[in-house]
Amino acid sequence: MASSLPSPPSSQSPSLEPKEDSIPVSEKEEDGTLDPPLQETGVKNDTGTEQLSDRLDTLLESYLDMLDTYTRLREQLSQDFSAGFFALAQANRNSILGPGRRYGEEGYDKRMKALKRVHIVQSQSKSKGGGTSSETSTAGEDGRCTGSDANSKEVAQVGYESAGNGGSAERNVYQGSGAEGDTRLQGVYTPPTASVPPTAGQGLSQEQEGADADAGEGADADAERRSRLWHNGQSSSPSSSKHAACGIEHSGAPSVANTLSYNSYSTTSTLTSGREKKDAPSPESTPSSDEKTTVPTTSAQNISTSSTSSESKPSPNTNTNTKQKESKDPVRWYGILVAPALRQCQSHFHTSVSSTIPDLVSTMSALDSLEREIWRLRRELGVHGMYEDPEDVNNNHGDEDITTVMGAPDEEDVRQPRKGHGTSTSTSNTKRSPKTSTRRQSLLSPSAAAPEPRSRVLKLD
Amino acid sequence: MAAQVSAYKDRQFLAVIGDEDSVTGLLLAGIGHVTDPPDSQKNFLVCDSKTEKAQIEKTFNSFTKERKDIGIVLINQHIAEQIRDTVDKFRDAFPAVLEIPSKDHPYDPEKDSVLRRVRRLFGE
Repeated sequence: MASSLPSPPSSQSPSLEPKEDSIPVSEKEEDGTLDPPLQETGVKNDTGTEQLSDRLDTLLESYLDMLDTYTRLREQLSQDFSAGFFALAQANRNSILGPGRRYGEEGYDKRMKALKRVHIVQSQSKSKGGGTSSETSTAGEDGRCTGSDANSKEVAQVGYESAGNGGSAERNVYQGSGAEGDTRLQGVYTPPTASVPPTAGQGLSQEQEGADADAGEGADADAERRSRLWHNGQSSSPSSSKHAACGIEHSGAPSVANTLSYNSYSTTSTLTSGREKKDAPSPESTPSSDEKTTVPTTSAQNISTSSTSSESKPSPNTNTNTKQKESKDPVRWYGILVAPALRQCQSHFHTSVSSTIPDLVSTMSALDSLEREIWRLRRELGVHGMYEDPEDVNNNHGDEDITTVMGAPDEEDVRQPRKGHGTSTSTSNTKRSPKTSTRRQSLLSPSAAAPEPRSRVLKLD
Repeated sequence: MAAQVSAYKDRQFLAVIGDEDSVTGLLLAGIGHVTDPPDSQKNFLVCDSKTEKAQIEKTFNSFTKERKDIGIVLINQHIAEQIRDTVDKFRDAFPAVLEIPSKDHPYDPEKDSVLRRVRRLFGE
């Protein structure tokens, strides 16, 4: 595959997660004595290490959660797309365009303007879990706290103070509360109001109305203005300290909490066949909420779609103000009366674009930031050598041979040697006892195929 | 990933590189955008078996590096395979690149760069 992604050496630890390995003490001490640099990269004391490894556990756990979300969304996307392709093929088969013509490139309107746009928001929030609930209240729908904890109130305040935080939370609301009403969606759609006074509830709906009334360009401008507002609000909120205060549980851990949220919204509010009609957010589109609860301090990029209108709905339902927009509906490229199959196709892709794709991208970025955080922690714990660190691949790979060779020491490897530092000689003696060596062997056996472990065994003997 | 606001503020479009059906479907959903003349830049590229790799690469680079108004780049997985190096090398925060299935080439987890990174994270 890619040259930039070298395939991992076969010598790597057979176990998935370092924390899960229970390595005998003697093993650890050996590691320590063998590899002094490892000790040095270790953390200051046992408590610190424990906290870090706890945190690593949490991170890995949420990473796996996100991974699950990712695979589900992938499945969803595949389904949407194949349904879309199928409908398109059907439309082509029964095409009324004329012989040899199909619904494709030649029909595209060369002056097309995007009806769906992305809205990216980055915010720094530490406890996103609280965020969800807080948002709920921000939107003026109190008492709707979804799985909120004690943090929620604090977070809500933060939300007001820093628009960025509010923004992410709003998005969360949207994602987390799939089945809920318009107001929520609006809440998502009108991020800037979060940075405005708490009376946002009304403001939201009004703004929404305004947007609906506006015709295309107007709506665009409006949306843009709003997004700018939002961004400004965000940028003016450097206060991650506040968030840190909220994320109590993992106080010991350093917090990286940049949340990027993408909102993909459609600019044609007039085509609406009802806001909510558009695809209700899929229930599985709660990557951020999952992550929040488990990992308060990771950065995530979240993308939510808040297209307030469903121009592409196959439903015949038309509003008074649809006229203006109708010319903009891409389906019109192919005539006034188009095959129902084509509309079906449109709606499938619409679903993808407005919910699945943004969710997927947001999940990907959440995975990405989680990954970075995991690597950082591993480095801090000194166990990163066990894995092929993407950032270190080029630099240290050569230096770390020894580390890589060892089975899979976990964070305790670092800790242990430290303890036994003074008594290193005695420990080294004990560890050579036959019992431990057999243990060691059994440990190494899974990776016996790899050449490195053998060389290491030789060294020890 | 603490990107500057300016890095993504104007990124509002989705772009797509794909076969005709994929592009058609996505354009029907309303992501298509052609900038005002005179440059009239499209945010999509329709590829078929005759499309040159160089052109795909050029378009990909233009979407990812040159244009600052694109937030998400969608690319058919089988086309991404053709320019795998370029795609994998692109690790910037913006725009996000998402590989999508196409009609003839369903999603293949083996080729998914996200899952490859996952495997590496767990040292497999």
